[in-house]
Amino acid sequence: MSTSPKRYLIRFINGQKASQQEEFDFSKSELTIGRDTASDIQFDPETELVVSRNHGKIIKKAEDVFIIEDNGSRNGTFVNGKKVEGSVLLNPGDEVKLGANGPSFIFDLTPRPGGPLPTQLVNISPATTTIDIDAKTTTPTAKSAKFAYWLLLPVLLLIGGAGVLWKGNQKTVVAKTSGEGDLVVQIFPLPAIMPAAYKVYANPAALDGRYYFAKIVIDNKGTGILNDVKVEYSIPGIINWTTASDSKFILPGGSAVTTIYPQFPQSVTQKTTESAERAQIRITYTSAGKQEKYEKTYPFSMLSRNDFLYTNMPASEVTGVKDLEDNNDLAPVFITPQDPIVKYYTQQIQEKLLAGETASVGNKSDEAIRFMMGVYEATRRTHMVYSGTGGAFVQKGDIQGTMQKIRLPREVITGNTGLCIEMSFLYASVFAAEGLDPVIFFIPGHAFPGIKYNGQLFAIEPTAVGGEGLGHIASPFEAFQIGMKEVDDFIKNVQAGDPRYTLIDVNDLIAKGVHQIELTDDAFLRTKVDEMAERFAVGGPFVFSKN
Amino acid sequence: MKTLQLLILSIFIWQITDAQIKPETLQIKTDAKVDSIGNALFTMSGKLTASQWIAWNYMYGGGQASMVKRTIERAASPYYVYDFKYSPNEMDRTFTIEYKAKGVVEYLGKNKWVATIGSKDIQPVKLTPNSVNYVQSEANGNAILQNNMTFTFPSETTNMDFDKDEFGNVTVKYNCPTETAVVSGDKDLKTAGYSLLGAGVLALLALVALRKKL
Repeated sequence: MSTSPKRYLIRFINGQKASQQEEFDFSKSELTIGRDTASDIQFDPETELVVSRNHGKIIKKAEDVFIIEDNGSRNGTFVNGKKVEGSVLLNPGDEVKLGANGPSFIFDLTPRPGGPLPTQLVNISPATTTIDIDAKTTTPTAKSAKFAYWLLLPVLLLIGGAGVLWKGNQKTVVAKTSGEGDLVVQIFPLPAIMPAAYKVYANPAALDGRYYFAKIVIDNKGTGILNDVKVEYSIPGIINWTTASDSKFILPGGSAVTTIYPQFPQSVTQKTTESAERAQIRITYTSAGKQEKYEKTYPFSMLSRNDFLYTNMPASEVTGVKDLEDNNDLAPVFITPQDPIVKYYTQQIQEKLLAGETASVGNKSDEAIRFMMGVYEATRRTHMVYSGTGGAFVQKGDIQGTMQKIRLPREVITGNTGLCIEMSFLYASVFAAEGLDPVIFFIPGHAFPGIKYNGQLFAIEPTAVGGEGLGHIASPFEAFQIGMKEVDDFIKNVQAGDPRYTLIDVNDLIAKGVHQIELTDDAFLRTKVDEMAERFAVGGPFVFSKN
Repeated sequence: MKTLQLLILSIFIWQITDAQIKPETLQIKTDAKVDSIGNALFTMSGKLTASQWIAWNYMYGGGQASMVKRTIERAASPYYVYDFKYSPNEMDRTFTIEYKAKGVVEYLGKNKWVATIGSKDIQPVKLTPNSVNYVQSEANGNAILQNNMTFTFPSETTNMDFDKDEFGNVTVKYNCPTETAVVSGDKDLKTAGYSLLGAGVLALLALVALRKKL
């Protein structure tokens, strides 16, 4: 509600009248300003010289419209800091200054009517109560609300941050594998197979699994799991598709190693010629839900049943004679005490030559030695000669070494001839059939048989029946003496650390899975043994003699 | 039979023992650290007598270090072994052999694993929740090989237990997070959380500093 002013109110800010106020009746149509004593708003005529005598005047144009005029004063008039040129509108509350540095006052009305407030209220002196009242009644509330509003921001940030941090510290289960697996295959094949050792190739436990047919290393280079990885192989015409391994999982970065130990049929022991065969590998697996397949075919040599490859060592790895005879551990496959023909031959020696004596009875080594010499005597009476096939240097894949045609003990018996290694195998077969503990000594360029008896080694030289290097047919005792001298030399060289001197313990290797070639009975060969046995009998039972 | 024993003892079935006259004990220490995908790092170390050292060097010393690799590869033929390191110490007559082997333990699914040790007569003991130890002696000619063996499985291993397979071989079964993992916190969320907290603190400080002007 507006009220009508009743008086002019002049509040002096500075000058002689600073902090004073003067009131004039509102009925006056103008208020004169100056040092003149007749002025309404009068300034000190002696000291306030900056004010002209008739400096200016405030004119009421209407009830609420006022102007101020400068009467051409020397120092000018300023309203709210702005110089008055002629006349300007003057509102209640405006500051009027006389001269740039002169006295000033606030023009006001009382009571103040409603209407616009002066432009620069904040600059008005603290004495202006109206303005102060307005400020005190409105600003604190607005400031509090504004502050509270702004306070929301950090509070929300802090609450949000704490919440996100709590969530970030929670334990969660995440998948470690995703995507597809990537199958990478390496195959390490055996380039040549000896049929005589088919039982070794089939046995993962034989010689620590060293004679595997192939080793397949499967790596998963992808990011997902390979599932149900099945490795199969086949050898067309010999072995049908067979599962070698079945892995449920191969993890990303993980591997599976499969070693193949194939069950060759016994018919491979009938092979008398070498042949080129093919092996097929097939790997099926699932990756990211999709069925996948990998296939590979590679060649290998299937040797004849009489072939003995002395090493499987790649040529680049061979360091000496020992490496060139690395397969000597397979020799027992040619030692056939279970062969019906060898058993029959042993039986004939016992019956016709040793007159029923058995070397395995009793603890005295004499009986064992007599049996050893008896076997030698049997070969001597049948005029067995030392001759045979020589070894040939061959290359099978990356293998380079000697391969020799080894006649089986039954073939040595019926053929009545043999090389040192063949005679050694025959002797070892007969010794084992008799229940003795056979060994074979390998020395550079030669092999000879013997036995272990009560912790001692005994040997006999079977090639003393005649042939290279001897020049005559030695007696059984001479053959035994030669054998024992060779044993002495053997032990000295082994103790000196010469790796070329090795011994194979037949029963130990059999216990490690090196099983002999399986042979069937043969009536014709039995007849041949009978013919031999008739020759044993000539000369009567063998009696231990040094002659 | 494919068992871990093949990876440990077979290298010491060496011919020098045949040449030894008196019985001697060869002590070997083996540590196998199995990783989370089933591969393993083997570290074998031993101290030899003077005569054993001469024989050992005859086979493996003086530029014959590659023979160590070859011997291990042949002895552990059912496995794939690689990354060999051989460190002989002539002064102490000691040696250390390191190599890795792939796929030495089998994953059964559902975070379950099994390691087949390959011996029937060992008495393994738990050293920690994820490691086992046993000592095995094996006569080898005139030498007695004594192996102190420790298997350490991944650190996340739980429920480790001993069992036997169909053939009576000792096996070690354990659980290990494989297909899934429990993650303690999300790195991105943590970063976002710390960022928001920091921004909140800065905003609060700014508000306090400017409160008179607001």
